[in-house]
Amino acid sequence: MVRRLLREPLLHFFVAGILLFGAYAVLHRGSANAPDEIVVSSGQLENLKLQFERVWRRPATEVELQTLVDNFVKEEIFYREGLTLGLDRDDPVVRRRIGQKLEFIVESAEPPLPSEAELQAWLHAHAGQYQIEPVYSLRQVYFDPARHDDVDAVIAAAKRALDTGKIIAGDATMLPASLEDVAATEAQRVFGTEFSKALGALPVGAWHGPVRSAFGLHLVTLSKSSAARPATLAEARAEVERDLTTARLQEANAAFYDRLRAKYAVRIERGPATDPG
Amino acid sequence: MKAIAAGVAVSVASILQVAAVAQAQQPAGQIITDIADVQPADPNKFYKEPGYSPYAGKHFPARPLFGDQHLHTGWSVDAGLGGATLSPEDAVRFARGEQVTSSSGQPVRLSRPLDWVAVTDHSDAMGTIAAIREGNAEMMKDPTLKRWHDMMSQGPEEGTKATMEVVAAQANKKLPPALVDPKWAKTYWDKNIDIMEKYNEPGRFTAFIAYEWTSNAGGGNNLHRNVIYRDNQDKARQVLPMTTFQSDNPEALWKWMADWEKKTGGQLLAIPHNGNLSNGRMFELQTFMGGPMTRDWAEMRQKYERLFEAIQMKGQSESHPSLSTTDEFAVGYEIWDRGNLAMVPKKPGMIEHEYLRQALKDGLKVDQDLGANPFKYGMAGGTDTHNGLTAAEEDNFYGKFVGSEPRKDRWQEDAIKFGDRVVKGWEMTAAGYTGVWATENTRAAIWDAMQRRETYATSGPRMIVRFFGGYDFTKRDAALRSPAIAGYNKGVAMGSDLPKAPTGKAPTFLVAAVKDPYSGNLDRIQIIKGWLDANGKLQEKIYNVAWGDADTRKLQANGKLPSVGNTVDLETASWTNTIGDPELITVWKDPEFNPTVKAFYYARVLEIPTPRWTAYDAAYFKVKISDPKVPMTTQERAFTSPIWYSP
Repeated sequence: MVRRLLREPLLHFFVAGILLFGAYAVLHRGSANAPDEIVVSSGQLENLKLQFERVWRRPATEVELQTLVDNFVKEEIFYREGLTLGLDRDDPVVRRRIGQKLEFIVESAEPPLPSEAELQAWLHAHAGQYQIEPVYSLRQVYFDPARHDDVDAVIAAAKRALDTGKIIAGDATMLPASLEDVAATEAQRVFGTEFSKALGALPVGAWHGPVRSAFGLHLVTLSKSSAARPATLAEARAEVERDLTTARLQEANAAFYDRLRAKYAVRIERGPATDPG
Repeated sequence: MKAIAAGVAVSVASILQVAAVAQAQQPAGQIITDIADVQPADPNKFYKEPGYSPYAGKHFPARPLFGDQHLHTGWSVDAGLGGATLSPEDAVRFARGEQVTSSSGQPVRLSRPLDWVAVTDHSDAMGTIAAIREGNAEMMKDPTLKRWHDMMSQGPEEGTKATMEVVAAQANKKLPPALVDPKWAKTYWDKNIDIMEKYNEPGRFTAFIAYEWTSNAGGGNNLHRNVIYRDNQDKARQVLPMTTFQSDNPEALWKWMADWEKKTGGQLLAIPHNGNLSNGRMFELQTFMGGPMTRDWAEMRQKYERLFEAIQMKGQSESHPSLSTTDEFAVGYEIWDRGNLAMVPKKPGMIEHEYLRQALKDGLKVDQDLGANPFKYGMAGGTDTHNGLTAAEEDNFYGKFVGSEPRKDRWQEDAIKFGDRVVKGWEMTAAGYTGVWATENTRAAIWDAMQRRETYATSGPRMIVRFFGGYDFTKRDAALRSPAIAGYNKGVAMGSDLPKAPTGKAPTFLVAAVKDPYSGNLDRIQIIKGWLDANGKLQEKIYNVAWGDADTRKLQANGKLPSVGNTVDLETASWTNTIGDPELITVWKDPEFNPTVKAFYYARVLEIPTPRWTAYDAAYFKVKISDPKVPMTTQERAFTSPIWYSP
């Protein structure tokens, strides 16, 4: 599949260069080359200076400006000659670039900021997307099954001790012994999915478990546990505003394309049946 | 579902700080430690009330922040041509953990959000597109522009009408002069910055302003650099990115960076990648133009290039088996060594200047000769995907290009092809990320940690790795399993320099790793030492310092360890964590320390074997991958930034 080839810009220029000179040699054989006029207008000159300044943060020197102009002229000549040869046609780079330019202009039509009521309505319609996560404060004691012949008995003994208020260290670990006021995703980052899911089912107070994690088994006590709940607009305003604006922009872009598309009749000439894989 | 942590102080400060053993006061007779020489009474000295933080008032990084400093979207010309339709906005949303639809139409989501991302589209096409900048006072003097602007502010319907008028005017060359004035050009760069500002949420998720400067000097010799901004839009907008149209010489990039910093007061760093595809040019011992290295040159490089991307989808550039002949884990591990980016074949002598470990060694020699080390690089990982998806997980691998997104035959198709020179699809590496020990999740804090090289590269999993050097670490520091406390108090972190050796003392290293809860157990931790010996020769040695299943696996006389084993079931692409350990920690003292020679040390952490992405593909698509060349399992790994010693 041609598309899958590596596309590094410079390689393209090499390939393009070879093709261009080949095509030029063929097409320009014997044709008279009427000198065309190239005007480097004051606007273009300004443009070149400005482009330079935006990269280097200083004005170009006379010598640099001359080089810029020379390059501009050379590029313009190559560009015109290339256009004459029709090299802009069927070139995926050019095609894509020009398409992207149009897309860019379309997207600059940013929709106005949504009103309070619109934000509220969006939040209401997409409540599931804007959840305040559960928050936990927990302590845990870790047991590595690989370090015990009968881990169940060790854990049962530890739990009895913890229930009577004794402090038990469990197996040595770098995992945190406690997490304070952490969102569920943070607990998930540290202990993994299985453990963080189990937290939701544990009542506050008393030692529970063993709870399984990616590391082994844990006795866990929660001093705080709040359930997930839908966010209020005040809590999720930034996200709602961003998402609603993005959705509107996408709608506007789709509508724009639909209108352009309506101007065209598209006919697909299917060749002999092939298996696209 | 989006997770909002509103009103929640995410207490990262508690993680890995108050380790469980610190609760101590263990009942006598109960076996609760696996370190034999710790007496039950010892940890009592370090007893802490829960919540009593030894870090209070200290700015220790509490947990590593994981991210990708290297990915491309449809805005990169090559990615766009490859069919990528995802924008930087899609890429950031994906990195934040949201589900998106890939360019090939497949729904995809990360196993869990990243903490930060730097979208690095190629700068070579960023600075040129003109569009309307709404509401600009000077533009609004033009009645047509004023009218368009007003229409655009009235909502999508009117906005579309205005846009159609703009398009028509442009087509008929009737655009108002103010609009074509380059002063008002809105560039890809500006728009990229808009997006990063929108999604950058200090404290929660960092979206860097960044780009890739893509020098293929001489035709495919990969000298690419990612340029990462510490600052925000106000500084970033002032200057357009450097492109290779200006120069493909890295020294010109550093000059541009110096210039930028002077003009804006901001800070930048550049991260080179794919030495393996540079055909001997990434770490050549001369300047770009072939001149002799100078002290200024070395200092300039070191000032702007603090990290090197050691692993990504086009293979790893950490070590090559032909250079590190005793390294059993470099053999066959994600090696792309047949040519450069254009598959121009390598010649003898090139590989010597492509891999980081060799460059770290060469750096010692250059330092000796010039008084400055140009190759004092820390470690970073990245994906370099060209489809907007920073998906480095083996079981969630979306390939490098849209054409290599999950599909039955991707493993056997050509990933890169120039004539008869081909890189096959299966050679793509599902990697990597960078772990950063930043004090908080902001652009400035993550950037500062990169600047001080307190980072490590991973092949994709998010294992936690600590690495400290000093002269006074003892076994007890490991037994306590709170490495950060002893580490920062008694030593220096990864990426730093050891102070001078006190008489008669050798460096000690406190090194620790906790497995990624989503990935395999740990096989071992190694410390890789490089040094310039007394005869001026460069040496390296790999030490196995901590390993899983230590009750049954013993070091052999030659320093090697028996293999950890392999539980991978290829039929189902699964494994069990019945071998290896979930965490490893030790203190290691250099047994062959010579205080008169320059050296560096870094840690490599290896997981037990797990299925490679090719195995997940085979199981999911029910294809038989019978080619024996195709690796079906992998040992995921992390490489830390080195700690250097100078006499």
